[in-house]
Amino acid sequence: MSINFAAQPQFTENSWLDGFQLHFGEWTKQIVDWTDQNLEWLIAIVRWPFQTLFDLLLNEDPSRTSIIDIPWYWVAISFFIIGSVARNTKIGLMAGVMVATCGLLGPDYWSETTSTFAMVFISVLLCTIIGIPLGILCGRSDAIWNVTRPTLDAMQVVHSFVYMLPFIFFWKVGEVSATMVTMVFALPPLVRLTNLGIRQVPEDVIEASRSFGATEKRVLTDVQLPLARPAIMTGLNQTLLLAISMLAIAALMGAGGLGKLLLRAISSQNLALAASGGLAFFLVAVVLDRISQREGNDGLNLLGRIREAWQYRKDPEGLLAAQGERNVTNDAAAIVDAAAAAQEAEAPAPVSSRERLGLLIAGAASVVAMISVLLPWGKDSGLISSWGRRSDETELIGQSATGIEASGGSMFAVFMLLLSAIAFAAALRPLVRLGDTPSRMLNRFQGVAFAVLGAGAFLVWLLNLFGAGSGPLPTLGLLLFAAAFIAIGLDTWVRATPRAGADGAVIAAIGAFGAALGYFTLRSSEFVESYSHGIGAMVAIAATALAAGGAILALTSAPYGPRRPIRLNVSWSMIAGGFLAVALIFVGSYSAWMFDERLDSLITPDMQAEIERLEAEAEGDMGKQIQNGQTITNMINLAQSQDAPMRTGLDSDGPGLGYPMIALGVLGAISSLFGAGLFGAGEQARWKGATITAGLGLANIVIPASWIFSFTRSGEPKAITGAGSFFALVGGVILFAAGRGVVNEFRRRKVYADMTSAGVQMVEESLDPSPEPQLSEALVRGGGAV
Amino acid sequence: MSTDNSASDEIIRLENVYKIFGPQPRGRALKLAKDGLTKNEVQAATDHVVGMTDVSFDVKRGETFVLMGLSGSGKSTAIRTVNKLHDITDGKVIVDGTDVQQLEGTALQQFRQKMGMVFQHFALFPHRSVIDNTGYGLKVQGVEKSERDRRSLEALDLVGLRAFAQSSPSELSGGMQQRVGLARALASDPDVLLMDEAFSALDPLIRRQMQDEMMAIQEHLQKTILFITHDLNEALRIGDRVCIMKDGAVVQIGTPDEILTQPATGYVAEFVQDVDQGRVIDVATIMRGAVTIDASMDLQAAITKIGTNSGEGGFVVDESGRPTGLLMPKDALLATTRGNDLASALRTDFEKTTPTSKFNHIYAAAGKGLSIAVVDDNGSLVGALHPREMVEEMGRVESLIDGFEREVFM
Ligand SMILES: Nc1ncnc2c1ncn2[C@@H]1O[C@H](COP(=O)(O)OP(=O)(O)O)[C@@H](O)[C@H]1O
Ligand SMILES: [Mg+2]
Repeated sequence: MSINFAAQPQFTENSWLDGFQLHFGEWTKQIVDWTDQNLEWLIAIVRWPFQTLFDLLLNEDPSRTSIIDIPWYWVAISFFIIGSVARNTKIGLMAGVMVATCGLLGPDYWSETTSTFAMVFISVLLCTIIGIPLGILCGRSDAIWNVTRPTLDAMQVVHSFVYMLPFIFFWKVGEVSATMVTMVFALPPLVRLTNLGIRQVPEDVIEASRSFGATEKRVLTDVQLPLARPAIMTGLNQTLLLAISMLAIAALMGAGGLGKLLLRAISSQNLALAASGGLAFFLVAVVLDRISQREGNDGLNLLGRIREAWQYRKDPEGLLAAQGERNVTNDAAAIVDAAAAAQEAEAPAPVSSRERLGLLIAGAASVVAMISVLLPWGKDSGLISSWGRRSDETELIGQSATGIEASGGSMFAVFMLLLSAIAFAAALRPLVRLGDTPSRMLNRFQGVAFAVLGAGAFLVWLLNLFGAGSGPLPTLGLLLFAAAFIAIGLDTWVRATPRAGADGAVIAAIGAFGAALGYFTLRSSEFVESYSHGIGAMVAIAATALAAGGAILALTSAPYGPRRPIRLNVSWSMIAGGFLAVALIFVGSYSAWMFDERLDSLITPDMQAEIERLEAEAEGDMGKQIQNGQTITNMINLAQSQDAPMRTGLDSDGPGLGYPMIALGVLGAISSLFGAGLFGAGEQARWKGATITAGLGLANIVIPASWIFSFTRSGEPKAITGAGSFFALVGGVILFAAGRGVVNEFRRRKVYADMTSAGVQMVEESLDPSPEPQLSEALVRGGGAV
Repeated sequence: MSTDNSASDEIIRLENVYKIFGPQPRGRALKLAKDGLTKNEVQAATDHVVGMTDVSFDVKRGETFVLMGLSGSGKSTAIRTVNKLHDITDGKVIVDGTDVQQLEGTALQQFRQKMGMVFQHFALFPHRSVIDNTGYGLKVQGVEKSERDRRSLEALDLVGLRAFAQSSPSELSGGMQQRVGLARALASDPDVLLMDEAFSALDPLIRRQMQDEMMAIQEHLQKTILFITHDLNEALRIGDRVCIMKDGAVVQIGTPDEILTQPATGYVAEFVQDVDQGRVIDVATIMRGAVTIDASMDLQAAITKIGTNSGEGGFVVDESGRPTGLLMPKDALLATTRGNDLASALRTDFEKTTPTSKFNHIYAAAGKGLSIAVVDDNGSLVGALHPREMVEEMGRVESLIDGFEREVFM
């Protein structure tokens, strides 16, 4: 008898496995669908905070102001103030300039820049609101940390492309889900670092607080939070860096901002768009990073820091250790400074009569230079504006324009004004001995100013929300900004930043002289015959020259010395910097300083017709659009190269700014040889050479910058500045940096009041070359007083 | 320091206190500890750490009470129960009539404000200036700023750091930082100072200096101090009474003298061995009654009185009890060959000392090999000391250690 098994699957039969389908995907979909349909309220609740913030900051409702509508200069000023308060004036200045650069790129880039700021701000804000309290809880309770930790691990192990999908399913494509994905990625380091910061607080310090009867709340606010602050700030910075690094993915998910712009630039192969967008993107990242960074510039560039943030995102201890290692030297220097500051008997070296004379000349001449901007700088036409504006040649006959007007000195005069003001402040600082009181008063005043500023800004914003954006508010805002400016300026001045003195005055005065000289040597455009210089321009060049001379006189007798031993061998890198700068200035001078695309000959009617045909043909066809766009670009490029409406910096019918730049640049290269120690290695010679090099570098920055800004201020859209001016500007920056490196190593010498039985005797003491002895000496002195 | 404090009522009292560390402190571990098992045995059996087992002591008002023991012996655990930084597992802690274990929340915080604590590693707040560190206790109590600063400066004056009020702690040396710690504890004028290894992190010279300063301050403030140290020299130097702990248990409580001269166990004796006892032991502790001879006696009678083998001799005293001469047996025997005149055998070059002198003050005097007269403030003879006895006394501790079972050192 035979049994037929064929009908039933045998135990060993496994072919069904080959075609098996585990419906995991289907199940997930079912869950998502179900949630979507039945938990709509939950999804809406989670959406609410995100949507509200985006509506507040980025709404397109014309009746209300949102950040996109704020002009770039206000934002730049705000960033200057925020940077100055949060970090220091230098970083504030840098942030302001960078934001201003984003604004200067033009409205298209600016609106995307603001929405990028807003997106980063919203994600970091929400991360802060969630991350810091959660981190504190984790730090104080093992139970909570044991639950949170694996969650954070999971958030960081899974790739963002994976968890992107459910967010898109529930909250659809757009900035809300993009921000959520960014947060999943950027939140964990903040929680980890806050937790670590709280846990790193030494147990006995906490016990000390408790033992005096402090409540647990007090222990947290008095001890744990302040001591965890550095770690928390590092966490915020990490969150920010990771949020920035997610902007591209956010753009893929449909969020706006510069990421979107870059995606568009890539898909349409638009190089100008990509370059400007990329620059704005980079500047936004640097500004946010620098403002939120805990330590000073620790030597890593932005990319290095983003890489570090990625590398250590699961290892907060490692991050703090790595950063700590880099900052050891900074800390040591800070301790030395603190120890030196603790010696009350210490005072800056007195001002000699020759130095005083030089400083007074520099200060007085700077005041004259500042006043000169109110005098007429040009008559019968605009000097700079004539290059960019055709109407100038006829409209301004018989009129004169003051320094700050667009058809007068324009940005040349504005930069000269600013630099003269700085030279004035720097020259007077050594002459004014301030006790503790003014700086303490200022501290208070500053606090009040910032509180008022913050409250005012909030009020303005709030009232704007309700459509009351006019009336006294703009004036109020202006006043608040002015108050903050004055507070920061006075504060910087009172705290005697290292460069407030002869060297600062020399650098600023030479820069101001450069601006005046630039205006003086600038040629008017060929269409203008009637132009003549006004008295203001003459006064300006004479006064700035006198100011620079006075400052140099003070420089020759100012008691400065290196703050730590400087290497006495010849600094070849500085020499190389000087020559590279001169080379760039030469190249820049020989290259284009302006393009005039207004020339009617440029695009012939035939070409115009062809362009229109190509554009019509591509209508509605993506592929064709790209292809034809390229053809059009090529056509225009060809036409431009054949009939170049271009002027170089040295052309006889050009602006002619190449000549003063080359002259100043060569002088700068020569003085950099002194600064580098090529002719005798004395410290003083190097200091003076480097100071003058930095000043000439600044002058070479100011001339092309004034040109670019003045031109854009008054030019018609089709008249644009050329890359030559940009090259020359970079040359100026390099020259400035070459000098600055050495100048920064020098400080005004200190004198110590030596307590002897005969009384207080002032003893001049050269600064101790090595930091360690100074520290121990400070401690010994301290011990001796007990 | 003086123990003759008139208000000798007790302010801190620990009664049979147990402290077990671990997930279930009140479980089997406590029972075993109560059954008398040692720290190691309990740990082996239950994996719980015994911080304190059956600790009882009391501290009197104005007294400096020192807890001494090796690292891990439960000293910090004990001091932390006094202001309830730790909860105890069993027993009772009473401070100034309050049962500390019952305190919670605000009551506990107010209770802690009456105490000042000083920590081994200073535990200053690094983000506050010296004066703000000093005034922290007052700040917690809600004292307003100007008053706080005034009192902080006073406290800084006490420790000689007024000039550094505005400095940051990191700018100060270790010794200076600990002075700030002391000033911080003193600023709120607490009844009790808790000092946990306050000087242990300082190097020896500074430590000596700090001890002196603390004793000088204590001289006029008369606080109650509960002081912890692992250094017996320090304990004996500053303590009115010393409590020696080992493995969470109290081994001996007593005055420095008692600890030195009557160590309760070999463990204590082992410690004592390393101490320069001469610095601590009073002459009064080891002197004995002097043999006195009448000046009118003849030589033979005097020899009979002092005995020839004891080798200690006897003193001749005048009518007011002052010693005027010393008769040593050797001299007496020599003099008998010349006659029977007592006066010719007497020595006057003997040394004198007082009962309150420390042992080490008379080392030089003992070098002469003659008996030393112990006289009171009036100069009257109250006792005598022979160099041989001094050597014996010092050797006694050594032999004590040999006499104790070795088990304690395992
Ligand atoms: N929080 C704690 N958890 C577990 N064991 C502890 C804890 N605190 C102290 N101990 C243990 O209690 C014992 C006594 O510690 P401690 O009082 O700090 O000693 P000392 O201060 O005498 O050096 C040690 O064995 C120590 O390991
Ligand atoms: Mg301890």
